[in-house]
Amino acid sequence: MAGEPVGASGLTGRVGVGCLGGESSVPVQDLFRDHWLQLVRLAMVLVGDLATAEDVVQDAFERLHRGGPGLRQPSSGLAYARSCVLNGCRLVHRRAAIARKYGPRLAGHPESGGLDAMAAVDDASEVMAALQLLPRRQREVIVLRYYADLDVAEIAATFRIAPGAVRATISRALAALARSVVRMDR
Amino acid sequence: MTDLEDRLRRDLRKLASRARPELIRGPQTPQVQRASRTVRWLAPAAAVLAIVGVIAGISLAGGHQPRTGSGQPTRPQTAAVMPRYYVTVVSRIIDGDTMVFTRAVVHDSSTGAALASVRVPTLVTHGSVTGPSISGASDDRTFVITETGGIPPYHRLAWFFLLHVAANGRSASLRRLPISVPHSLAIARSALSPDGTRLAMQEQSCYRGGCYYTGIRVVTIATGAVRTWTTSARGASFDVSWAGNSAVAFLWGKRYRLLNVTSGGGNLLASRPIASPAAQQYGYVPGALVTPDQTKLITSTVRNIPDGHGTDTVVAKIIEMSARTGRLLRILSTTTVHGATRGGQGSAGILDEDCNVLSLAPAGANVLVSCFTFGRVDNNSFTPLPDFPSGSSTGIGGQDTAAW
Repeated sequence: MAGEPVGASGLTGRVGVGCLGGESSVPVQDLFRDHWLQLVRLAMVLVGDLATAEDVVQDAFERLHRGGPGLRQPSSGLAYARSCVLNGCRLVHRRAAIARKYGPRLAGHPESGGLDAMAAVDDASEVMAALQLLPRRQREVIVLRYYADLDVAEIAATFRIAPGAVRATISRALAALARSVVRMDR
Repeated sequence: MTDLEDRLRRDLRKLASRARPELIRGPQTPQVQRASRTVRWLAPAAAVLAIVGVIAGISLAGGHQPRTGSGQPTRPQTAAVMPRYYVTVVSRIIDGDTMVFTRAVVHDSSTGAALASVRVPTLVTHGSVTGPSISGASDDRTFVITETGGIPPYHRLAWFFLLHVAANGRSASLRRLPISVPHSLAIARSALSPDGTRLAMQEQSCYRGGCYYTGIRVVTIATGAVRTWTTSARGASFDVSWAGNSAVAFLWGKRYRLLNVTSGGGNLLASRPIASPAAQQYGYVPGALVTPDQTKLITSTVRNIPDGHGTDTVVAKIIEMSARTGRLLRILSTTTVHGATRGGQGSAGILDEDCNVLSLAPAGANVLVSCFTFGRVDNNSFTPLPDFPSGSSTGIGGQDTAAW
């Protein structure tokens, strides 16, 4: 399992909704145990920080676990968990935006840049830097397409949007990425 | 597939690969399960019975039990041997400098394995933040995390959180304590008393360019009652820690002092000076912890020995000394670092500050230390422990970021 992409072929269904547990016999615990690394890595590429990624996945796990021991639609378990993780990552970014808006200067020593996230940024390529500049939806779609290797139908199901909208989002995101990379090269 | 798409795949996988299996902890199953529908109606009845039981229990005990309601912590029972758990706190900054995540991680004291993790709300302010600090009671399950910040020098903020670790260490609960500190006071380095009932902290009143007094503030957690010992003498108190339940040790200038906190408050410098570790080569006075019986200090020494090749051999020791005479009683552990670069006073000074005692177990036999390597010292042997939050933005040499 380690090192594999997140994508799970054929996993579509009831996703892209709130993270509430169901009452089937597929244990949430088994689902998360089997796919923990994959989900943490998905969160990692979206939030850029391992500790936060772990917290996001743990939060998703706890939310689903609170809802009951199993999932209503076992076949869509991983997609559902993935959707919950995406929601959690959005929340992280939303909080960051609020912090930016209302807390212009965050406490911290200048030298505290030696932390995980900043190390990640240091190593980031131009492409990764450009990815951070994309709108949230475009960034998520790109990550699901090129990291999780989901096809257009799976991404559409995840976000509950039309496949055409996914294709258009990917196209726009790639164009924006290309423009940003060119600008950075100059 | 275009080159851009190739680069995207490659770079995304590279970033994801930072989450290596050995670095992540895996799911931690919540302890609380949803109640079965069939017995939900029993809940109100059970609550009534519980209340009746509590009332009956208090009545039978003569009403002399310590209060545990109203959000107060229960009085911890002292752990007789090495504490089972220690807790580290770390802040990680993401998204530039606009967001901080603070996390408390419960570790097994024997192996250092992470058992549970709790996110701590982060104090976000316009000025600098000291960072989270943690101290523990003697029961190895009760901790207080302090976060401070504000707009210096006028407006300060301090948050205090009570962390309670479950008996098996696999989960922990966190709640904010209703302790408020006047905005005019700068607070730092809080320490939880061994019995878990009081919080001692350094305070300094600074306003419009001047500091008017410095002191130690002791807050009774259950009631919020405050007692302060202050002085307008030039200087500040540092390294506050408890020496038993009746005294607070602190560094004033280059000497440690013991403040008896059973009195009603008053003059900080009426406290009793005790023997202190010698200042290091560049003036740094190492942190020291006083044993509960107030007879010994556990501290560190660092010697930089030039090796003739432009570098130093650094010999760092964790030692036990008499609080009365200052005599060296025992060397608890020795760490030697060869080839340390001396880049001037600052560099060597940093080496001096990289060996510190962090937390003393209630029985006095086990110490958490950060002496170039994080670990514990038990009766003359050092055991390295993993996962010290070295990336934390907090104090010198990792002080305040680990406790038991």
